[in-house]
Amino acid sequence: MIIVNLDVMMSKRKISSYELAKKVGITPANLSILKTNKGKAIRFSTLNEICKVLDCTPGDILEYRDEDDENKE
Amino acid sequence: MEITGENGIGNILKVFLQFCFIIGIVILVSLPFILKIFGLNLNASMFFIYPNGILLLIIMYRFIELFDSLKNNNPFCEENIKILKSAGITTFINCLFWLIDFLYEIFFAKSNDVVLNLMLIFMVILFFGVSVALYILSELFRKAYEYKKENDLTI
Repeated sequence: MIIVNLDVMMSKRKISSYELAKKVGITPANLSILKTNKGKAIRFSTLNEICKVLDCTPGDILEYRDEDDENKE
Repeated sequence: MEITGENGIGNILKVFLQFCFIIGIVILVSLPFILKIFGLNLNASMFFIYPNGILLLIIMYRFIELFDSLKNNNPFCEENIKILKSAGITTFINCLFWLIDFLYEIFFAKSNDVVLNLMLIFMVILFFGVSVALYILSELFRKAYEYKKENDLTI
């Protein structure tokens, strides 16, 4: 499964959810959906904006975790 | 013309359904008196109007709720799927009632009234068709709801 590590990057860049949402151009509610891994998909344009604002790559935000390993733990 | 929203056609239909709902209750309550006026008695065949009428009133009541969601501009919700599905099941039960009525007329009442028997067959086919259509519609609504949910959760 894909995990969104947005809060890690946000704390590294010392940026609040509201500020990031405003700069990216999405609502704080949608950013919250993204942060809590409730989102079904992310548009390239949104990912592009997030990477631009946080000065990072998609790999810094998105992470793949094996679901089987997760269940074993 | 707008279908959803405060001034949409859905709202007008809701008022019309509410009117039909009240008229339906009045007709069901006063049926024995209406029959008396025409010199008829409430026999077993006529009595089938009651379970069918009550089921149709239930469907109508659920559809009034469905039109409420049109007013709120949210037609693709889980509640509407349930309403359409239950309406489909209720219509199928209605179809069975008409079928029982038809069989009663043929085998027990030994009715020779061709018009009545043809009308009963027509009702069975009609209600069966409507129940299947409502069930398919509920499945279409479920698909639309899933797509909408996915779209809403695409950031």
